Amino acid sequence: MRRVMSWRALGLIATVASGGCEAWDVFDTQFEPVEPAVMYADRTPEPATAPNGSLRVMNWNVKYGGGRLDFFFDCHGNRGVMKAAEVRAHLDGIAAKIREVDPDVLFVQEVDVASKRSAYIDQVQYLLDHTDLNHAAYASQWRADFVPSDGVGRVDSGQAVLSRWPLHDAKRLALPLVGEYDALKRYFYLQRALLEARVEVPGVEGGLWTVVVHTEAYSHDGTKERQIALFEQHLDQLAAEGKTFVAGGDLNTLPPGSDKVQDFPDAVCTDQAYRDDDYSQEADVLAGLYAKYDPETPLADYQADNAAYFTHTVDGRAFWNRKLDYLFTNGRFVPGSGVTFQDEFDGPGCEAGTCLPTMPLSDHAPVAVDLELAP
Amino acid sequence: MKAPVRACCGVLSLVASAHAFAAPQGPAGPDELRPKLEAHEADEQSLPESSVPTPHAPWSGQTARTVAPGDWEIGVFAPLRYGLTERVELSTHALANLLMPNLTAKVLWRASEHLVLSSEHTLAYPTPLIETLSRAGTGGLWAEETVTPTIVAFHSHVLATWLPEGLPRAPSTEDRRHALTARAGVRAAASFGRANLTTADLWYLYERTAHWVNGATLDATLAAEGPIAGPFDYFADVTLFVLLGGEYEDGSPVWNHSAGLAWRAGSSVRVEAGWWLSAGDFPGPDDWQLLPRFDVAFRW
Repeated sequence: MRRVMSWRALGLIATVASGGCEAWDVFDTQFEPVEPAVMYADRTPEPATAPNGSLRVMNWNVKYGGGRLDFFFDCHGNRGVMKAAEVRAHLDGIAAKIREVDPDVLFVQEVDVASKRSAYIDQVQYLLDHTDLNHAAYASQWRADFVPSDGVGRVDSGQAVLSRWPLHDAKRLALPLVGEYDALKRYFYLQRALLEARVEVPGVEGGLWTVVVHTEAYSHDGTKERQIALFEQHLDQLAAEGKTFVAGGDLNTLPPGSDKVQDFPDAVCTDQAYRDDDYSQEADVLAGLYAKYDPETPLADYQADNAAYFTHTVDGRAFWNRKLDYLFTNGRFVPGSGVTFQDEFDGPGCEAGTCLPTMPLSDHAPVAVDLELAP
Repeated sequence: MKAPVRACCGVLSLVASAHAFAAPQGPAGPDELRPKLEAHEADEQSLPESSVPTPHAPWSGQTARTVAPGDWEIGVFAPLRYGLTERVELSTHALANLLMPNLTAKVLWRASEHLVLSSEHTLAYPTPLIETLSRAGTGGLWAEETVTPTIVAFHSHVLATWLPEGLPRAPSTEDRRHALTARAGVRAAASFGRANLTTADLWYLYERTAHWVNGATLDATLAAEGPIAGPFDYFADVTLFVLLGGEYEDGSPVWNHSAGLAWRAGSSVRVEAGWWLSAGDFPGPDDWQLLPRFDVAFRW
């Protein structure tokens, strides 16, 4: 009985403390439902010419420049904080791959701008300064002056859109929080969001709208499904307004018709709260997006050969084993232009294995596709 | 390798010499203090008005003055203080000793009509604290992967307190007078063994513990206190920390400021309430934070 009482007392203290934190937002973790995005510019901009009939869009979850270091939350290791040299080495590899793919518009997820784990390197600015992209908009989805857990400390991590051309109307749109966590954990936990921005593409009337998303990985209460549904609704709204968009990101779920939907060999966490390898209840969660919009990889191609389009594994000693990363448009992608950069053989001109492998650079493989522009 | 040994012995010898200095049969101290030493052997209530000022003060945290010999003070957040001799006050953060053994000696060097000079020296061993808080899950202020070296931290500061009304002629628990104190010194640490320890990048902790990782921090404080009306006093201070070395710091300044009211609830209880501000060049973007400051202190 005493133990029960003490746990209740601790729970009460935690609730009061978290209530106080939320009310005052002592650790600066909270966001408004809609906020302006943080804008960036390349310090040495490259000339940006008008696109010639199409533009290339690339998407990549860059794992905050962590490369293949085994971080504690993947349960493969216990790394928590990187040295600046480690982060720069990984970012140099990521930037080199981006230059090789040469996108006009780039979506990135898990990009840190002021986090202890990544030596406080502003990775959005770093990628702008080390690629041919000139402008960026950033939306945080995990921000805290100090996370008192696992040595995380200060964190500011989120998603960004980078572009050759100027960005406008960039904003952060909050997505629902995970409901199953207690108030204290929710206060310090990730707060997912959509990042929307309009790219001023020369010669394209109204510009190109972009939406970047990174949905919840660990929820078991339907939060991820609600976030994906809101993402889809937002795209429907853009389409209804006659706006051309490219949208995508790390959706943390599988395409319809995936052969393997659970028990992935790289999922070794024993804590059920952090197991993210059972997608059996999410079989059709992306069906609406595939039905309404053009994906970077046609669904028939994926269903014919799942493995050729896998983009994720947390085990750097193995190979990609599931697809979590996507691009969609309400316009039209150039048929056959979609590429999943799984290794040094993927991409135009890479048939001889002369391109940069992506496995060492992140726990996600990038995808890219060319968007047709109306004549 | 020898630095902490020298520092350790330095602090201990300083305390020992000051203790001997204060003993009646010991070497003579400053002339203005000697009669006070004899007077203190008598009961405080029966002390006659002395012709020389007393350097002692209740609630001595922010001044060069020390608590009177045999007196104790403790706060919820303030350290436990004990007047060891006329010239030496010892203090320690009592609860922190469970994980970070620490001891501070404030040594009184000179007291004249309006001015008190002293120095303060701290020795601390934070290694067990860091090892305990380097853990997975909630409460992990450092990453589980952290390899903590053996750290010996030492602080040395000089303090000068100016009292426009002059020092009182006898120790009194009712002693309340305006005081302006300047305090400056260094926080340093020597580390032994392989390590990958990082700084604790949270306001208040960061500026006070960065030297565990980086080696040294300079700091300087200007503090004022005094009576307002009735049982209420004011206090205000500003401190500049200059962090030396480290992966992210290059002499970066961090400012602290606090101010508020103190209520003397009788002669043995003091309640403080106010605010505390930290601002400056933290790792990552510059930042600031305003927090409430509260404490309850007791003396006997």
